[in-house]
Amino acid sequence: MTGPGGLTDQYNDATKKIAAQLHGAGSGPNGKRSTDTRALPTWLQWMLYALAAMLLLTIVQSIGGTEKLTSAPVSREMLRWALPVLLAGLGGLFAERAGVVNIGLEGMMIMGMWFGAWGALEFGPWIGLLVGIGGGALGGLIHAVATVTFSVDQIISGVAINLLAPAGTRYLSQEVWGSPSQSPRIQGIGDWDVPVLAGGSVFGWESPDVLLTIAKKEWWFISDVADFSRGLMRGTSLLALIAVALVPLCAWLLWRTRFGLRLRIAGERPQAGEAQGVNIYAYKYVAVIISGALAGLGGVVISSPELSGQFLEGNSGGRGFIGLAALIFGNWRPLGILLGALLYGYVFGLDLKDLDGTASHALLLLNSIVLTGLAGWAFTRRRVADGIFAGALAVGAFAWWQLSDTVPNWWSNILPYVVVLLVLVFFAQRLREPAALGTPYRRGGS
Amino acid sequence: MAASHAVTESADKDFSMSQTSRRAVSVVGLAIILLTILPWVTLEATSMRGLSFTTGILAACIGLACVATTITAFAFARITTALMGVALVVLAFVLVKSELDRDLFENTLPTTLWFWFATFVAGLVLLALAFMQPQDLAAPGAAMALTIIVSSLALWAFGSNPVDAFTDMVNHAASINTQVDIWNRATPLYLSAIAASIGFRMNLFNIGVEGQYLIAALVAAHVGGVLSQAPWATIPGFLRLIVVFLVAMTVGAVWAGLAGLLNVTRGVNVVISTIMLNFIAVSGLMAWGVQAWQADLREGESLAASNLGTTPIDDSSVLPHITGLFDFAGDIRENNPVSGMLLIAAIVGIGYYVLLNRTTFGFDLRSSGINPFAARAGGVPPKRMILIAMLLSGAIAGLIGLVEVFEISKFRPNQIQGLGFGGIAVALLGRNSPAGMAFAALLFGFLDISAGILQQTETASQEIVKIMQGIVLLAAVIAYEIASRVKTRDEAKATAEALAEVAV
Repeated sequence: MTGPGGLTDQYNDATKKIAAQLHGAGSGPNGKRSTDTRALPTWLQWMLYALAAMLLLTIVQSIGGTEKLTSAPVSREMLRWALPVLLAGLGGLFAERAGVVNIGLEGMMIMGMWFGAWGALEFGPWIGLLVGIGGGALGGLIHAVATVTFSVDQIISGVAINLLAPAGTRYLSQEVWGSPSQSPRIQGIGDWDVPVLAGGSVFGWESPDVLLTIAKKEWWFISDVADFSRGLMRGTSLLALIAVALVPLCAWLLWRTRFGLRLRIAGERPQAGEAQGVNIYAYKYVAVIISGALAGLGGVVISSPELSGQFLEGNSGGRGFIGLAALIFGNWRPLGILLGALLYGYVFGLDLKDLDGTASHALLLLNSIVLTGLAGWAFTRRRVADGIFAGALAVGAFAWWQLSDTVPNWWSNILPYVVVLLVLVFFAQRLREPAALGTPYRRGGS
Repeated sequence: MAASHAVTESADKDFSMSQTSRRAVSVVGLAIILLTILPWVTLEATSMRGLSFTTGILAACIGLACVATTITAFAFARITTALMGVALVVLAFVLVKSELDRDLFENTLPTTLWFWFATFVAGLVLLALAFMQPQDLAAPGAAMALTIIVSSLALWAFGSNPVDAFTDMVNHAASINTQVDIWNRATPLYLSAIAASIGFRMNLFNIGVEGQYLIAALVAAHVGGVLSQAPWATIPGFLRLIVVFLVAMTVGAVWAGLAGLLNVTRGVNVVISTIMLNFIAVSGLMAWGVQAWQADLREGESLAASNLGTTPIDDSSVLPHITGLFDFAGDIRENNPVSGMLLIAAIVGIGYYVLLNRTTFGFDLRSSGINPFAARAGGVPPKRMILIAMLLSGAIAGLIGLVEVFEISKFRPNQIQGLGFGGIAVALLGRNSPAGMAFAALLFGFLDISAGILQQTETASQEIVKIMQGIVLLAAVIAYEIASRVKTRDEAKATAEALAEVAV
């Protein structure tokens, strides 16, 4: 795969790239430079961003005459649908940080779906979880053998896995369950309510439901935040907890350990790593297998009662690809991936809870506001063409919002993909992929 | 200078047949094929087998074309001629085979026919040897062997008998009507493969063929349907047919061109943008268009899936089928016609070959793929190349869906999907070469169509054919990689040896 900049940019930016690499390699998972001294810790910054986003949603909601944008069911759907994308994205993170493009995430996810369901039916949900992870890891292993050992083009190998996985699981389903497209219902590993905040019980003691109390007060903004947060804390699947906990875990593993440093060097300057005595092949293998395992876990989530409750053919619905998009959206960083996944989950989940189309309609106004902000940002950066484009889109979205009462179904279906495309259109040049991404590595090569 | 000359010569000697021997073998091979066809042609022409006069003439033409091929092959000994030869051989094979079928039915197989058949195969092998080197065949052969082994294991593991399953598949494919199905499935796969390979040739991964062909077919079918009604219906049918083709190609080109445009202006990665555009096309635009352009149901039609779709295109502006070209024994079923798109696909294949290998543009395209920096230094504008490649790729992708649109005269909501990804697989298997992709498309078509017979006879789950497709693809790309590594190593060795000789 050539770089995102196409041929010219590759040529022109050869020197810039090296400079960026030197800076980028030293930056942490959140893009914070070591020389940067900010007053607020990162987590607090992100909390403030989240509150700002909530404020924006509340304002739009008040203008748009809907109550769904910040409701608990929507936040719950957001989390549910974000999970597979998040896990696929984290899977992509490992492979691509080690320099291997993994377009086969979708296939590995499907393997995780099947093996997760099969394991859960045969041995119970917890073992099923492990079997599903193993199924995804098997897909990763195939990809690693093809791309690392045999230097097959990484996209080609990924496409092959994406063809093989649905076919293989269809065959296995037919032979094991007698139906090519679905399994019997399966059990999940359970869910959990946060005590005190969302009324979970601690050792049999029913704690108060503080957030519900606040949400019922109908205080503008505060009740909205409470309600939205409560959706995330009540009836939360243990799988969701695992998945969200994996975000800091991955960040720590990749940026704060020797293992992570070596893994990333395999994706930036493998020859430099080789000179240091790092076994690049081994790191690439491990990275791609972890990548498959994470995508497999994403598949387990899809098959678990959290989403489907059974293996259903086609239920991955391209979420492996969305995960890949979230990875790029998030600039190859864990928090960015989480943000991208939540954004996707929000738009997708809102559509599910929005049968009359009014909330999706209000979302048009939000699109317009965000695009206006984008246009302003572009103008201050003297990127006039960008500014005009974003401004035109903002006006278009606003006009659509003004002139209609609901949005058609197909628009909500494609909104997540349109958002990803727009983000790439405006920010592709600010993203930095691992320097050796997509380049086959041979030991002793140049 | 002298040293490098010696090196080239020595490498030539070691790794490829010399030009003279290549010519000789190709001439012998083609002559044998010719000899097998000519007596048959004579027989047919004298109506010994009770076939019509037209059939005899056509068969004679095939014979003459074979003569022409022999002469050109002798003159150039190039891959183009091999391609033509192979195409003719395949056509001849279909003819002989339909003959065989008929006689098998009557249980009176003349020994002469067997003789022709055997010599024909021998000619084919010789022809292959003339233009391919043994190591070229090793990789696909190994991939096929691995596929058969792995899928046999998969079948055996779940209690099916692999031998029975494969026998069923081959027997099924021996019938002329199944062959028609295979050609009709291979046609869109081949077009799809060419669309993908135009991008692959310059390291541009157009993963979006799927979305491009679906919306192109939808819009083209809709336009064709509208043009079939008043006031447009007075326009001559062939003009409307051309419009349908142009619309399909334009829509495909625009959708693919969008990804190209985003790449050259904004630096958006083509793989990601085409994937996103796929989703937008299939779950957005197609979902919208299928609803918006749903034709009114006719009197007495139920709301069954088979009745849904765009306004039907009238027969005068549907591409005619070409069953007549194949149906010598008259046993192709009437409801199973050979799509005229087969000819279009053949033209596209030849056009693709000529464009890539005989024009400056093709040279620029291939050099951009091999070394973008060198191409740029040589004055090839990279951005324009990306745009043109994507537009071309999309335009050809636009043709894929027309096979089904012309077959049923409309676009149905359950139009066959997955041809875009299948085409990528075919392109990879066929190594982006026009002839290789044709064989790969036929192989995939054969496997797709074989699913039906496995379901009927219940010797194995029909899903096994999709597994075979996946494995053959993965095995083939690995095998090609190993083969090229072995070749590079051997060449390096030969070069070193030659240099050593010169030094002494």
